[in-house]
Order: sequence, then structure tokens, then C-alpha cells
Amino acid sequence: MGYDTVHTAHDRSTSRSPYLHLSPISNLPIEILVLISRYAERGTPAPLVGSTLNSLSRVSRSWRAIALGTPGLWTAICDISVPYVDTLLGRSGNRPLRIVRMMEHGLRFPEYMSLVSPHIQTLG
Amino acid sequence: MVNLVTSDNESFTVEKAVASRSVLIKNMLEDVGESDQPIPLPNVTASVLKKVLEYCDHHKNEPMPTSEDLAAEDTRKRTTDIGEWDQKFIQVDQEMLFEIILAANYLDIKPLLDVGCKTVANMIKGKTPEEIRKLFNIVNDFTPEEEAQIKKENEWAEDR
Repeated sequence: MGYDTVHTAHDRSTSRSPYLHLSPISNLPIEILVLISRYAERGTPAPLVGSTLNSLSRVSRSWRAIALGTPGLWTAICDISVPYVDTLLGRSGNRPLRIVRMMEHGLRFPEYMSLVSPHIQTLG
Repeated sequence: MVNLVTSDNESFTVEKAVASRSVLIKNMLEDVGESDQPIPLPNVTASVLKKVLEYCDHHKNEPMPTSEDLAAEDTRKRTTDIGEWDQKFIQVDQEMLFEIILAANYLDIKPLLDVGCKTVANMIKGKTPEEIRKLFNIVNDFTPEEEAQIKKENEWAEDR
């Protein structure tokens, strides 16, 4: 279970992010940072999702923990080279996947299927 | 009318329809019934409540989000589109933006929470880790070794 399952509504028992001392953003509970991350992921055009997630997971230790602890962020598969599909699938946990778009230089559909078939139960 | 009292002891008297945009206050009013008793809001200051009430007043005649709406938001329909009025409303400094988000979370005003979170998400999109740190004044607490390792792990996204 990751941060995906945490609910937001006025839960005052939630913990504050431990490493973000200096900024007003440090006052936000973790589940709100998760919500922001999910909006950032969903609001990014498919070919750039990887770049957005890359940035989110490299800001600081706590942001990385939030990104990697939220499998729902890692469900878009879009023109990713072979060695990294496993990384993405590992991070997505058992969430339904979105095979978003395949560009000409990306993998062909049968190649995608052979890569994701071990995780076929997560295809949504 | 409903009387709300902030953490800094300011009183706001507002229409019930406005106050009830907050599910927390709506539930309180339903639990207590008709009463002149002020409702204390110990987690919200006057300056923040003023902004929140401005939002609630503007949206007071709109239907409250249903559980189906919230479920849809939770799955595939999550976009970062923000209405024109909401965009102008949320043009505030960072400190106020995060205070509004916290207040919306505490008061359980989901549409306002979404506007705040979408605004922050839009600030993040397309930025490098360093630009995000600068934007929010976040300290990079990775060691150089950790950074090198993470960069290697994330190579798949580097040229996208």
C-alpha cells in the first residue's frame, strides 16, 4: 500500500513532511503533496509524464519518498526503452496501467505486450 | 445567518448557504440544529477565512459535489484545468496559497482544495528539480552519491 490510499478531507492526524522546514509548502500534510503530485502527473502531456515524475522524485528525500510511495503516479507507459519498463512497472505496484501512446521510434505494440505480459493482471 | 470565529478571534457572519460550502460546517450545523452559538474555527485565521468565504460566496449556488463526482476526480478525469474566476481568485502569494489549501482541507471544501492543488501542480509542471527547489525554497538533502544513483535510475525520463 502506498500514499495512493490516503484520504485528504480534514484529517488532522496526518503527519507533516519532515524535511521541508524552510518553505510554506512544509506546512502541507503528505496526502496533499500526494494530491498535488497526482495533478501534476495527470495534467502533463503523456510524452512528458516521465520528465515530470523524474523532477518530482529528485527534489528532496521526502518528495522522492512521496513519489515512489504513490504507485498511481507510475502507471503511464509511453515510449520507454526496454530496461526501464521494469522500473516503471515496479513503481506502479498493482495499479491499472495506461499504455498512452507509441511514437514511431518507440516500441511496437507486440513488444510492449511482451514486456508487460508478466504484469498482465494489472492491465486496466 | 451563521457566525464563524477564527483562531485570531475575528467574527464573520455569513449566509448559511455560504458557510455550508464547507462540509465540516454543514455537518456541524446539522448536528447542532438552529442555534445562535458562534462556530469556532481554531485552525483558520481571519485573513485566510476571508479569502475562503469569498470563494464560498461566489460558488454558493452551485450544486455540491456528489460522491460520484469525487470518485470520477479520483480516477481518470483528473486534469489541471481551472475555471477563469477561480484562476483569478487563487492568484495570491505562496504563503496564502498554502494557507488556503490547508483551510480547504480542514473545512472540507473539496473543490477549493482541488483549485489550490491544481495551481501548485501547474507551478511544478515542466520544471527541473532545481527549479522546483528554488520555487518553494526546498533544501536539496540528497548526498552527491545519492543524486548520482538517482540520476542513473531516472535516465529513462532524462531526454523526454
